[in-house]
Amino acid sequence: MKQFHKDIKNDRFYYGLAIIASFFIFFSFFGIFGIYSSLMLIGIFLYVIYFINHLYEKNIDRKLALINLRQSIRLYSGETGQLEFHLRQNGWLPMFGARLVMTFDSNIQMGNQSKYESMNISTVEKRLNLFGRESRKISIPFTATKRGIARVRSLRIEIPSLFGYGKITLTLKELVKAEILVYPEIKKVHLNHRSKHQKMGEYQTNFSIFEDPITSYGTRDYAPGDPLNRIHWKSTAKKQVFQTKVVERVNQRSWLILLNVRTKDSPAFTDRIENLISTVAYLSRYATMKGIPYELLINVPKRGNVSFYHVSNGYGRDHYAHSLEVLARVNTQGLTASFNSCLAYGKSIGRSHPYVFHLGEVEQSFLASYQEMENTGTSVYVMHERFQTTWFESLKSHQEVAK
Amino acid sequence: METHQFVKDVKDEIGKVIIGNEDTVEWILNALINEGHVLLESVPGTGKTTLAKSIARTIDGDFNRIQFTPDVLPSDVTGIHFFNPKEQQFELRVGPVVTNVLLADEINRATPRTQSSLLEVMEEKQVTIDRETVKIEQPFIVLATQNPIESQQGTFDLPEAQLDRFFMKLEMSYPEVEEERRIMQAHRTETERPTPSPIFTKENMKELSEKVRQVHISEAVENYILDIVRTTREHPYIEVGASPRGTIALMKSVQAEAAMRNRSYVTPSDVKKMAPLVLSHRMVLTLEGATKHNQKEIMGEVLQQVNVPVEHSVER
Repeated sequence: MKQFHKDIKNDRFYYGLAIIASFFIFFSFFGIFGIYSSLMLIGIFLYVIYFINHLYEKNIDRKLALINLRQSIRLYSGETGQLEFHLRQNGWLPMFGARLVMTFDSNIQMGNQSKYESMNISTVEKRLNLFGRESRKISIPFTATKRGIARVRSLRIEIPSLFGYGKITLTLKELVKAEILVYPEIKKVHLNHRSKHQKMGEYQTNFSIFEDPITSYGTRDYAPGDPLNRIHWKSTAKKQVFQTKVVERVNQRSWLILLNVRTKDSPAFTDRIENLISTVAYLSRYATMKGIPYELLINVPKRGNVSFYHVSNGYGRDHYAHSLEVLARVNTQGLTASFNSCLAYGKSIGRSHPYVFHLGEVEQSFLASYQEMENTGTSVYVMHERFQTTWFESLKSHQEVAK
Repeated sequence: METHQFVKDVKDEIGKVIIGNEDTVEWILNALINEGHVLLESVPGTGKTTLAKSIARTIDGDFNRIQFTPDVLPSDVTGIHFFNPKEQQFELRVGPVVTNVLLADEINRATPRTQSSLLEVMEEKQVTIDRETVKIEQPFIVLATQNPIESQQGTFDLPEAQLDRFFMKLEMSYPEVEEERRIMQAHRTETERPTPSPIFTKENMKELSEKVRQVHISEAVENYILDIVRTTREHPYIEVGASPRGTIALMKSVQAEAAMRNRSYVTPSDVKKMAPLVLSHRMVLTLEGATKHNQKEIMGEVLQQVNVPVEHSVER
């Protein structure tokens, strides 16, 4: 199957060429001008030109292939990258003076000559020459300018016809499988939460008041006060001294981060969205550096069991990279979901998180849900912003300020 | 037995069961000759476990498998002393690690403490149970599998010290279209899957290892290896570069690679081929690096940065 859709536009002279050639050959038979053979030759020559051009237009794309491999480029705003394609002409027909025209999302700037076509789409052009049986790497440098996903929306190759009488436009039928992820900026916030209380959980730690009784990893000598059900009888029999099982100490230190992207009383994205996303990015980075697991809920709709953006609980570098990717994918031109469904889900899982962070607009109904979470031993913190400074207040302080 | 002939025989035998992934088989044999261990990583359903079992069967030795789950304890891996009421004394019951081929299936499902119970056996080829040390007979290889797309719940990343003990980390790819067609056909027609037969013994193994150690490494190639390792320690996106254990592993792997190609000397292309397999998993990326690239991509950058020695200084 051909990769390109072909559109041929020839100017009037090209069609006139065929007509003139036909006239010349026709009149040469009657000897009207008395120069039979010359007319015949010119007519045949013009026909040959016409025919070669026709063959060129017909076959130029027959063995032309764009190697459209999946590529995902990740970078931060302000960084530069390079988009690469391979164009291969498997046939013998060359392309001279062709132009590669690409439209792409405007959150990247391609080359120096790219220009805006509409609000979110830009265009870039590149000169292209390709001989027959040749493969060429096309590299287009770009600079990431704004958080988001940038994709090549269309790619076409404009080839002048062989004798310059028209233009062949080859438009790629399939999607270009290149994706550029521009991560959000990371905006530092003041985190004054106190990690003083902990919950029983699943994370093994050296110091905790909680123990997991089923994960025994050794024994030690019995000490007065050790419960009877902790005595390791086999070990005791072997050593002839009472032995107590040593079990793992565990706690729960994970965070639940809830991001409300909506404005108050409206389904539209808040105009502070970039700032909020940058703050979430900072929280993710901070948690990753401290080895704290975290879960992220954003009220942007998606299909699936959980109907909004959700990064399940996890930790480490891969988890951080995944979180940044999800944040990069929040499209402010798209739809938002109700934060209540997000909060209801958060409440159902909130018990397992000792800390909850809320970012975005806070409505009165949310506070009641957060209060219920606090009643189960969870600490809720709400984001505040003033004079370019961002910080978190505990739910109690937030409510006092709101009053 | 010549190394390249041995590789061919094993590949033929394993080819009865595993269609495609011939490079992976070769690399596992490379690790086996070097008494190293292999971490196999790929998406589910690409034949990691089947491959590990097939390799085990081609060795005329013992084979044990541990299916790791979060409740597997270190003593389930290493062994315990149990009280024998008949004899009225404690007896040692060694764990599944005392074998020739150990398949550690889904190793990242075990807790870090259990994963760490393999450290001694992987490095020192011995296991200590209640102060009693049990030596493990050669050949000994741990073939561990893990799934990269596993959700983090119920899985634990392997600690760096553990990863460093793996001679190489291999990623099994999807089969090619024609290979997948052959897999379909094989599963359609065969009622019972063939099993590879043992084709080499412990003695063969020792002989091969000795031959591989005789493969010549020129000074130029030696410098090339050192340059690569040093660059991994200086790259801005790498927090912890390859360890000296990694350097040794790379050297041994290229010797085996050359022997498998029936050469008595190592070329820079051997180093270029083996470095991503042997060094990538030993590098810890910075937070920023990890968000933008994976270890293989960074390794590719490292290889591009380091000058390749010219050919005349390679051969003996």
